[in-house]
Amino acid sequence: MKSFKKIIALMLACCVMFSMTACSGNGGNADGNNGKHVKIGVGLYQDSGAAVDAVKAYLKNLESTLNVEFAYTVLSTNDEALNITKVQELIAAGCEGIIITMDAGMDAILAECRDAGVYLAGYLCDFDTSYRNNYSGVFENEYFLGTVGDGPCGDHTTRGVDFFNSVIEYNERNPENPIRHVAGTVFPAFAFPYSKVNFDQFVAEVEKYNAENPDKAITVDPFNEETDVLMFKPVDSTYFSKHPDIDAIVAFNAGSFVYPSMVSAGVADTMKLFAAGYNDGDNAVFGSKGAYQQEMVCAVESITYPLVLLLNKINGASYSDQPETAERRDCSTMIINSDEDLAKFEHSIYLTFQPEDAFLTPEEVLNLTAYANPDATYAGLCEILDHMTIEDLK
Amino acid sequence: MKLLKKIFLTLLFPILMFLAMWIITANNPACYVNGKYIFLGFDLIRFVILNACQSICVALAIWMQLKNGRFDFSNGAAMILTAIIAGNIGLRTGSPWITMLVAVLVGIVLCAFTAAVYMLGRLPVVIATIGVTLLYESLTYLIFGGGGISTFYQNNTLSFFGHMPGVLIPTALAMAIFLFYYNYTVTGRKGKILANNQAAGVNIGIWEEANVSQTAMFTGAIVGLAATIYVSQNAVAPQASLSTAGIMFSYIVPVYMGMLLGMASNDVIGIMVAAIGMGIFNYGLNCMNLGGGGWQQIIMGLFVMGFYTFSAQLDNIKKVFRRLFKKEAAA
Repeated sequence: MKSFKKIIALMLACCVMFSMTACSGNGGNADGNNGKHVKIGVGLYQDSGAAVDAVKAYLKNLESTLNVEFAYTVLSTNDEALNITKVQELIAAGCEGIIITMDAGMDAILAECRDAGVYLAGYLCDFDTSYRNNYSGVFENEYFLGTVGDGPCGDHTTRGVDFFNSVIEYNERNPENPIRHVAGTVFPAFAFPYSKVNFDQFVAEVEKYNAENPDKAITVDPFNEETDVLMFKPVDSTYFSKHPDIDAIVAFNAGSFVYPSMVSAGVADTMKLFAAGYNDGDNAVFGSKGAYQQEMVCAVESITYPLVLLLNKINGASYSDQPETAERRDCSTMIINSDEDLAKFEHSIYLTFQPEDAFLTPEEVLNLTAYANPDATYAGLCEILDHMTIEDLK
Repeated sequence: MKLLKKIFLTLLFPILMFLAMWIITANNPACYVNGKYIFLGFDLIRFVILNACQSICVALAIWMQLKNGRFDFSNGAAMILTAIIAGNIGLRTGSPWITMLVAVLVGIVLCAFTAAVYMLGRLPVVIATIGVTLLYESLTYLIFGGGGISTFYQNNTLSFFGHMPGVLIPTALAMAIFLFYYNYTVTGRKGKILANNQAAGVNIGIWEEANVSQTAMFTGAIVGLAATIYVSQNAVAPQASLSTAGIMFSYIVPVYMGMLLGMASNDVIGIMVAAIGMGIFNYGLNCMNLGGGGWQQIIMGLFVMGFYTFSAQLDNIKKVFRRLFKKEAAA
């Protein structure tokens, strides 16, 4: 009996030693150049769809090289309490850094991060509300490291010009059936303050164009506050009656808020749609195949910016040219406005979900970090964000 | 004469609704675009028919269970899951008819599973159906890569059942299935007793399990037809946190209205005219720019509450009128 107890005790001791040894494997790596093992939380804006699958595929491919693992959650546009809860869950799950896509509940979220010693960075979000109303509370907070926007941030916006250029390019490609009459849709200003600014920018470009080309003038229906502002619901059934005889809609929101109504109204075969954002399956009705004539997205690889900032901080490294306060950086946009662009886009990680189709390899990302590459600079990290356009696709 | 009276009473609600919205919109400047009145037009007919058909199918599925004394929360989740499965299969086969067939079969299987959980688990119907709803919702994230189905409605051939005149086919089938079950099957007729008093029905010898399983089969077929229209009109995303119950509840208004409006004919026609009437109402609100946001909900809520109050107090209102007429006759 005594020897049986001894054997049991020995086995228990072996088990404890084995588990401690197994756990200690998470503490760091031998060569030291790819940092300690880190868990990063990623709060996305939805839990399914091409963009989500693509970003997960991209990050998954980075895991071994960067010695990092990712945990995912979904945040809300307007539910601050939910966002705080989700961040708390990520912290409880052992995340040392968190990337979020929403600017709601930031004071409480950053307080949680401070208490837990966890760092925060933004992705696909310009944090405009915080930038304008709570700059010191967020951007000067030591736990907020910076963000990359979903395209040009704030006053840098060029979307109205981009939309206008796409319409003109369409007209040049289709001189026999040009777009001469358009109407617009935007998201409400309380959630997307630059949506209407973009529409106004588009109108200003059209007015300039009309002054120079009176024979090719484009009419933009006057903005209708009631019908053209989409409260996160598809355009209603009377939109087309209220904008009669239009050739196209310029939607400063995802096409999914407009296209289903076009199909229901039976105008999808005749009317064109220029939209921001990309939804699964849009490529089937794009360009010469359907109504969509423009879509724009930011490359999922732009998440590299907040990721590298977090990894630097967690590994105690910093760039020689690191700014004192957190920044929000513009990201170049992939504007898809022709069949040729779509063909390129279809070979990007956004649609293939294959890491080899990404703009950056894991080694290139590691090389951007300050701890793996002493020569790496903040300017170099920012520069990659300027080279994620449709023209930059391999 | 009696038939004419029945037809008149049945059509009274949509006619009154049309006239009311006509008068209101005609006096609203928002309903004139470049001097043209937009309420009366082909868009009104198309909007009302497309929306009414979807409403009728979902409402019939809800009503079929409700009529048997059970409120099935899982109908919405079954419809969404069916739409995703049938839509993806339809996309691969390229046939709307196969889509509808698969949808009906999947709908039957899912509703039969719900019934099995209810019967074998011996759970209260609310608990059983909410549990199944959560299960079905989680499956929407697991099947077909969690991508839902977004391209089906974009294809004109595939989405035949989402537009005129194809949309009338699943709707007519759903109505026929409902009428057949309640008028030509024994369990359907017995269901009326269970609806009035479930315990009393069981005590007098009605075998509830047969009723549950058979009702589930017929409900499943109707859910499949509703899913066919749904996937032909919408992109269907994976759902969570009982959001499918919200989708189901958005079609529930015609169910309760149909109970009253169907008194002059039958509940299927009642649901149909209620759906048409509410379609006209919603289109009128859209014309007045009240179709989105809080105003639509407030107006709709007040209207529905007023309607239900009126229908609940109908007997009392009749009594008041009878007394008045008696007094007048006596005088």
